[in-house]
Amino acid sequence: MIPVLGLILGVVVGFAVSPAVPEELQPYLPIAIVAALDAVLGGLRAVLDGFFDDKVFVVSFLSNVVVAALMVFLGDKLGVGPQLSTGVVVVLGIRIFSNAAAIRRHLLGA
Amino acid sequence: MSLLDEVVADSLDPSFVAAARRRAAQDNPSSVRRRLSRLLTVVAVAGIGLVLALGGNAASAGALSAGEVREDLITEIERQFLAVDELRRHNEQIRAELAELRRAALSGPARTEDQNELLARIDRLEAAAAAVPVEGRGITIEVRDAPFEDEADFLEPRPEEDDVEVRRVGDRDLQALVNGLFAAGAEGVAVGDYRLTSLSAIRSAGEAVLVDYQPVLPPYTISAIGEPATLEEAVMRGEAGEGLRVLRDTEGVTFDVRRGLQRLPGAGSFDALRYASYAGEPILSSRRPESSESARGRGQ
Repeated sequence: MIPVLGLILGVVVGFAVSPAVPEELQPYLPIAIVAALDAVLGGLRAVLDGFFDDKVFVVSFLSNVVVAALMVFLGDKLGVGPQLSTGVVVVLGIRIFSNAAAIRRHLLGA
Repeated sequence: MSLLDEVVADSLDPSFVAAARRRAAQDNPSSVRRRLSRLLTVVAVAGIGLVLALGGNAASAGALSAGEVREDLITEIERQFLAVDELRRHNEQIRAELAELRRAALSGPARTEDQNELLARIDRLEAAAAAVPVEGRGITIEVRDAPFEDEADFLEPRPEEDDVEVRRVGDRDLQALVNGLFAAGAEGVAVGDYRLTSLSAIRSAGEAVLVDYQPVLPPYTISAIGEPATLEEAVMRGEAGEGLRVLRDTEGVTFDVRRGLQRLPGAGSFDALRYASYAGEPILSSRRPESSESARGRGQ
């Protein structure tokens, strides 16, 4: 429950304060968003499965964001930016879908 | 394929399961520890919310700034149009002053036959070249495109309906109309505020019609000075209006013709001299022949 409140708080603060994203970080914002969505759904599924652990949640979210940003950065340097980003988005997207399906099964099905 | 299998199977991070097992196997961690972990989670989740909000902000700001840029451009364009209009008015004013001075120099109580003839010639040529405003009976034709729903669509190419591209009134249609009016005996024609001369061009840029490089917007107003009945007949039933009538019947273009007193603006004198010749004895005194020759060299 408290984490959910934290999420809402973060969103509200983000819209209210509207901090400007620094120029250098702007290319990484989209990938960070996808990683964030993946982490949220992953955490939610873990809660429903009964396996939630705070430390694992935080560590996995941070490391996913860092790895995704590294891949974007590396891709830009190597000239394969769009391709690597696509790969990251595809994998994270599959995870999002799979976690969402599991959540759906918990809430509506078995 | 096994890569995809892995991705799907691992969607619930295995660390969650392992950590849960570890927790079950050991004593309850201290409540301080638990509080700390919980706090970390809340902070991380708040960070996620922040990132999502930032993304939303960035997306909406992007759309907004594109609209702003367009608005700024439009404002700048309008401002420059006004500036150009102002300069043109200034030009006209100076030309009028020059004409006055010329007339004054050629008139006066001591004027000669040559001066009289020159003055008359200037008047005749100016009228024929459409350089001066002219007033007389004639007709006004207003041409309107077929109506469309959204004003923003005006500059987009019209969509194809039933495989036939719906056409707007274009430069060729106005050209045909104007040529027809002249052929029917019009003595002066203006499209919008622009008087047509022997050097006028009606062209199009994209979907916009330009007269002498000046844009005109629909509804197009064409004014012509001449015998009203003849001109009206030429448009409604004769050759001048043939293209327009076809557009009316097939594309939904509408037009109407009104008779009345027309005041056509002058096109101003031409800036570039194309023909100049030595005028013999200088009419204006105190000019030596040498300076007239250099004037001839310049005015080519």
